[in-house]
Amino acid sequence: MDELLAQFLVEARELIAAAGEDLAQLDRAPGDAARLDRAFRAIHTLKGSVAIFDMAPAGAALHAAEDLLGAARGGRRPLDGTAIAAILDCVDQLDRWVDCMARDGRLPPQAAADAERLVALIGGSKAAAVAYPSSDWAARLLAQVGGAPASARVALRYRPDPDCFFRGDDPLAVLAAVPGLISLTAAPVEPWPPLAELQPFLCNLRFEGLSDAPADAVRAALRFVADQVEIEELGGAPAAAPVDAGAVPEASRSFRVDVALLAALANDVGELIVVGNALAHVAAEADTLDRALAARLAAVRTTLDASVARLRASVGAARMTPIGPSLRRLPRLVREAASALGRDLELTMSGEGTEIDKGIADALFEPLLHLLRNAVDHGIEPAAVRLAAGKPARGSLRLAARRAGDSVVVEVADDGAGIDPAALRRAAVARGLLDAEAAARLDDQAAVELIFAPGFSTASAVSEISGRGVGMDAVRAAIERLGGRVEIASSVGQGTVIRLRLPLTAVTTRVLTVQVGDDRYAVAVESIVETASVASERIVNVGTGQAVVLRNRTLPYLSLAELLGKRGGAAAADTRLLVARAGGEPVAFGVDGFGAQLDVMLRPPAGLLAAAPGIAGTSLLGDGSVLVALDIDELVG
Amino acid sequence: MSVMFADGAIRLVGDCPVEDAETLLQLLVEHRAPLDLSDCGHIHAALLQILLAARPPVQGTPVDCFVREQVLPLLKHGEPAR
Repeated sequence: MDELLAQFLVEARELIAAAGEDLAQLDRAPGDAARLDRAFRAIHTLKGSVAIFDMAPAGAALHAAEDLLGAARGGRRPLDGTAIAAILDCVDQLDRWVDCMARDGRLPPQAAADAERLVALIGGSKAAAVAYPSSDWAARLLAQVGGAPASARVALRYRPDPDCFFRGDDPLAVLAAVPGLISLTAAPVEPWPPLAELQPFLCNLRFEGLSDAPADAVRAALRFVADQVEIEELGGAPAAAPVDAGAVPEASRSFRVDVALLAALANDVGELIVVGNALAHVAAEADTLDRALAARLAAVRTTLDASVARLRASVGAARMTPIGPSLRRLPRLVREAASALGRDLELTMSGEGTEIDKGIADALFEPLLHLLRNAVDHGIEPAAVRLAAGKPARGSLRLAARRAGDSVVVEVADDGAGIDPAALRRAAVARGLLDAEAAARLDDQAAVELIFAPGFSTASAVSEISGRGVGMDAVRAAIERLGGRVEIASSVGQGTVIRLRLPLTAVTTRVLTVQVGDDRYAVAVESIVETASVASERIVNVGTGQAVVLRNRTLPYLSLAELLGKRGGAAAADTRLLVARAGGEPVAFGVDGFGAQLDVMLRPPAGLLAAAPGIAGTSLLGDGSVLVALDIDELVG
Repeated sequence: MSVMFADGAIRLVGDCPVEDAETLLQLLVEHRAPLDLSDCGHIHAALLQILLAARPPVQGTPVDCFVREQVLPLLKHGEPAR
């Protein structure tokens, strides 16, 4: 994908989420000037960004929304609920358009009609769209430079944030990238103080200039400082509304990193651990030849291990991210579900700043969407039913994230109908999951938890919204795959709370998969010294056991198949060896093949496996299969 | 060092990053000396700001094209105040 577009998609989604949040808050507290300012700036920046792409309908709709917010900001027209709803509609539509841009690289054919509807809804008009007076600064600028060169097409005014130097911005570098710059002026915002009192790192500059490049190109060059810039097309309708010179975006000391890069880093750390293990092995070998050299090697290895441990911790920390961005599309989808089902509800979100491993954060969207849609569909009752039950007509849906010790808890709570254990018992019997007697023995909590049983659906009619495909069992499987747990508490008539308890960091173990007969096992990379392949005849009987000579060193040899009580593969000319540390000593294990290295979330063995020796844990793989990880020490002991 | 005081002039040499701002300010406070831009590449806006506030007489032509064509006129404009 075009880098510019990729950047736009990320930024637009953030701005859309921020605007949505501010507008929802404004609906509750219409007088909140700071919210209003922020919503205006978000819409303004979005308008500037969409102008770079072939998204004219989006630009028109945003322009109308910006007009309305601008009028409210200037005190010319108060924002009422209808106006906010219309702007929110516009933001939701933009979110869908952004999805289209991500998928197809262009807007759908009906976008123009949608935009027209939105513009009409917002109460804007085409006439209003060009109603901005030509700003006086541009006129002054033209006068100042002694009349614009005929070629000038764009006037720009750039007021960098006072703090921009601290963020690493260089406004002159930004301006140097503006195409077709034919004139530039610079002036202090506040009069210059005596030189000795000048604050060298606070930016007190304002730039104005003329360019003979097309407005879109100028805008594209200035897109990262769009909130600090005013651009006016000369000899045509002005394009951009002036923004407050004092608009200060939140300072940031971070930048974006591709998740794939983080994954690559984590992989390399895994490789480093293996190298460290091999070094230990070499140091031990060297000990028989040269003690001093061995001691130095051991010291090097200790240092390496410490560095690798720190590196691993840093990579883990770099993967921590606020959970918010993973949740930002949910409000719109909940609004859509509510409107499709005719439910009146309010979604409140909290704890968006809670940090969690990026991999976990990314995997949460689908399960949460399912839980929220379920709550809209089966939890929140229609308004009439709610009123009859003495509840407020408008349902309440809460999505809250918080840190709880070593876990992050994400709750989806509704004040809807709750889950009736009796109904679940009946449904379970009707679906043949339980016989009537077993169902009657379940206490209420256990009956409610039947909702997680595979293939269980409680709605009498499968609805458009939540009844398709995935059920609550899929939600539970997804959360468990992340190393988390799902808990449910429900009370009839009061509502339901579903609590996802997730590990703070993905406590993954890097494993090598090995083939033994028809089965695949995993061995922790940390315990592996090396892998090798030797001619089978080099495995010799020594006393009661077997041994193999590998690089002049005799290692005990054990067939993994035999250890696991399996019939090994047919004797082959070559035997693959997994050399791993067991009880501190390297041991060569015969295996049938090597598979991929994986990062897995190991869970302690449960049930029958718990009793079996030599099992470190199990991990559910993405394809739903279970991988058994071996505990080499225990297996040999 | 991209900012230095030599031969009675304050010289900007090569690309001058934001880190040079304090040094430049210090030199301008201490010396009433002209500014030599003969070997000057890009200058950070923080340095431009200091030069606009200090308004030293300017000599030499910067190497960097943007600085030469757009920034140098800003420094020469209205100079010298004294």
